[in-house]
Amino acid sequence: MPQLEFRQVERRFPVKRDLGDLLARRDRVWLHAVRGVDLAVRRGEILGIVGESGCGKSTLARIGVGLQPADGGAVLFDGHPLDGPDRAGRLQMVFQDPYSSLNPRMTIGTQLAEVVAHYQPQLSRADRAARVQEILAEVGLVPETALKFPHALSGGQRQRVSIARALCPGPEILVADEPVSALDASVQAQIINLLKRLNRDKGLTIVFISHDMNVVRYLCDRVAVMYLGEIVELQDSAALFAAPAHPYTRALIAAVPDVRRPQPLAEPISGEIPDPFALLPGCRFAPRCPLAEPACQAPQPMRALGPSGLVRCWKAVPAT
Amino acid sequence: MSLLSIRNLRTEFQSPSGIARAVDGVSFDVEPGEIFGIVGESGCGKSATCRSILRLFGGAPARIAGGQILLDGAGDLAAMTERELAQVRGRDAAFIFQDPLTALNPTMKIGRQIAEVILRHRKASRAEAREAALQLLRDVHVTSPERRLDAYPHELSGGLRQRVVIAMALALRPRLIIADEPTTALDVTVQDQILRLLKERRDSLGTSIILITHDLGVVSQICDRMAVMYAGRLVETGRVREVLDAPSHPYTRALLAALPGQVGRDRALTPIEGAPPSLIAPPPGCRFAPRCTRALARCTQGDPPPLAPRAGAAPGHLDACILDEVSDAAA
Amino acid sequence: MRLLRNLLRNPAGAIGLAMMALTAAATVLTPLLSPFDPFALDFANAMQPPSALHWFGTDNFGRDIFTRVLAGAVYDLRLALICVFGPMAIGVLVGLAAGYFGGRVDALLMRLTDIVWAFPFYVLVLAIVGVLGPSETNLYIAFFIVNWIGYARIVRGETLLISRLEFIEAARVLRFGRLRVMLRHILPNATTPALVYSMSDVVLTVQAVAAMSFFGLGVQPPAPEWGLLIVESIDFMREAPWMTIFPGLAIVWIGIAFALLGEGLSTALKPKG
Repeated sequence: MPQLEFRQVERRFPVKRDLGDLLARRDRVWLHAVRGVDLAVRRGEILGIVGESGCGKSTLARIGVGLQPADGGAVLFDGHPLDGPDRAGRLQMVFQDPYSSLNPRMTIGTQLAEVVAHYQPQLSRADRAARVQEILAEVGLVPETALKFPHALSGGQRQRVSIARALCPGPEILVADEPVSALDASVQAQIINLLKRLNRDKGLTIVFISHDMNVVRYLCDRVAVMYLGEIVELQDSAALFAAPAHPYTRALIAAVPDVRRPQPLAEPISGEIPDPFALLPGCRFAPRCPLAEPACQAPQPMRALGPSGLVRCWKAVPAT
Repeated sequence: MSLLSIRNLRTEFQSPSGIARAVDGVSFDVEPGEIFGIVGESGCGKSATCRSILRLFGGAPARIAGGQILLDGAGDLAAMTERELAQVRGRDAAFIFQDPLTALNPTMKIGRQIAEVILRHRKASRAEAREAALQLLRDVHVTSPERRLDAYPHELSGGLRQRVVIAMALALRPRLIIADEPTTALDVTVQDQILRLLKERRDSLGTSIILITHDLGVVSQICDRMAVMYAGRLVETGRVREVLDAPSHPYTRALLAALPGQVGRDRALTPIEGAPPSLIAPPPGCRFAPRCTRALARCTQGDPPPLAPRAGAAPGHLDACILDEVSDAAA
Repeated sequence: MRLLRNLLRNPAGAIGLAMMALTAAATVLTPLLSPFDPFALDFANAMQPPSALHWFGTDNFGRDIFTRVLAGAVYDLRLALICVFGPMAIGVLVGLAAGYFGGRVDALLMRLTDIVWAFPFYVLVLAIVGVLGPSETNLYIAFFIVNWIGYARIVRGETLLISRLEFIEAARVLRFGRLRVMLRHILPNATTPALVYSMSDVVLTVQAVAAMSFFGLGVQPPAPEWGLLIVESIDFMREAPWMTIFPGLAIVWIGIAFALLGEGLSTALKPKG
């Protein structure tokens, strides 16, 4: 049984109507941030979710921890429907911006002790302090960090504190929303190593949201690619990067500059991510896809690809 | 004759704890028609260096404390008055900022903003300026340019906005464009398009571009030559392929080694331990020495080493490391 | 504590604090600083210009003005504190609730704010005091009813911003209770602008109280409240200008003190980074 499962999850936001719309009796327009997402997170894996702006990955992440409700479909945690953040703190989240992830007016020790007290109220003050120190050591921070305020720490250190805070309740799954995107490359490596270690040594399942294909390729076991609210491809990491099946995945990978060589001559993709309000019944990538045909206007389901992969493109799967 | 010659530039920022030497003795040349990349992590001074060229500090308490900025045909920019420099801006050299949303006036239509650049430096009728703006939008491959002229910045996507900013930068055909992290805020597919656009404009107009970035992949994609910056000083310069394929300075090597794209999944990444030094009171000797795995006692004495050629290196490939064989300690 | 240290570190804060301390000291030490009774009538010495004996001169009843100004300080300080910080507490809580809960709560509270806001400040205060009768207590009541709205708006704005920040999202994932999030996490970060605003509010309030005295609706004579002192001196401005000047200077003094304190607070309260 998957540890965390999204079943046909939908999330839409109503677009405000102005007086003109009301008078003309136009139908309410919805922005579908997440559309019909099926995703199963396996225990102990590092699952990457990649995509560009507007693809819905951040929204999906928040639905996954219960911060936002699903308007359609369901989220199951260990088989049980998720209704808001987990009471026992087994599903935790780490955010992107190290500067707004911590309360600027509380010391690190106070912030962490608050979480420990919330989940383990029976601990004495001394025991609580000891637990805080234990967690700081877990993420590679020196004991003195507890006395400091966030502004005295570097971006990398702050992200470690954020991870420490998420570890306080002893979670089973960590959803990380672009946790290294705001950090320098030399510091990114520290956090990536830390996450890898937590996954390997403590069996912590990690859902890793990112737009950085290089990091995802290195860190993740499986990768889901999102485009305009839908998952368009899901494969093992090695398979995805060796042979990306969906045209968008191919374009995405081709667009990532490689330090080892200058770019090939052909431009991988033209145009921009279109207006998300212009809903198409069929493949949402078709307007920009070099392989598009009239048949692509039909709704595209996910198709099996190999033993465990899925892709939402009929052209990617060889006809049987 | 180089287009731009920076000689021993020093720029200082006032901060509550003292004077930060953000740029501390930087020298490099940019040739006509070349794309020159400056790479470094946050706080290394790459942005400060390039803002110093056109003195665009955005109101921050900064000043050029020494050195020369020689622009071919214009003179020493560091010694110019504000009025003289204002003539240079836009006409001889243009600046592209990181965030296109804040670089554009949100209350003015795009067409008018582009026209404004044109009209500031030469006389033209409204219709002529509009036509010129239209052509500029076509040059940067903006679709439906007539419609876009009447759009406001917030109605455009990030990529489109950046194209508009580039169009404005190119409006007066400057010989030099300075682009400060122009694609950092954009999606990778859009980044690819913008970088190609910059390269294409360079190819057709012969404009030189200084490209500031933290992303070595970006440098690899379009730059001809590059410089690596650390703690206010340059540590390595040379042709891009030479520096990236055979880096000679320990910092450059460490930076490349920390990239996840270069390592197999079963190996741990090698971050660079420690943190960059204070720019207010930098340590003696090489600024990277405290974090360098190969540092010797000599490395932390005296002045920071200057860029120098190395035996066996390609011509033009310089680095600021005093160790003879970068693979071992010595000499 | 740390705030005090930060405050003293910047020039505005240090000077403002010093001026306040001086004023407070003067209030307490009045009997030591002056041998005169602020209420004692002495017609023989009425309308004396400033001299070695009477530093600020005497008024039409022969009362020593220096003593009366010192004694008056306590009125204006007390009025400023009650009429500012009391409403501030109300406004902060209203703004916090409106910004955090949003939706109907926000709409309701903001409409309430709008209703009070719709009336010109002085008109409302005057009306309330007029109905309740002129006295110091009724002045307090009037200010409590009217003066909280500025704070509510400021804090609501800050709360809206802070609620979006990631450490608040983290608190929600951790299932911290709403009250805890509001009071422990949002409130300390949302009150700085309100606190700074309160300093200029004090200056305005002191003036407002003086204006109330002008209408006879505030503090009643013979209390040596500075506004009242000025009002009482108007008839004698030609013959004894010192009766007006010194209380006026006192109001200016306290205004500057609070303004500087506000500046200093604004700098000192920045969380840095």
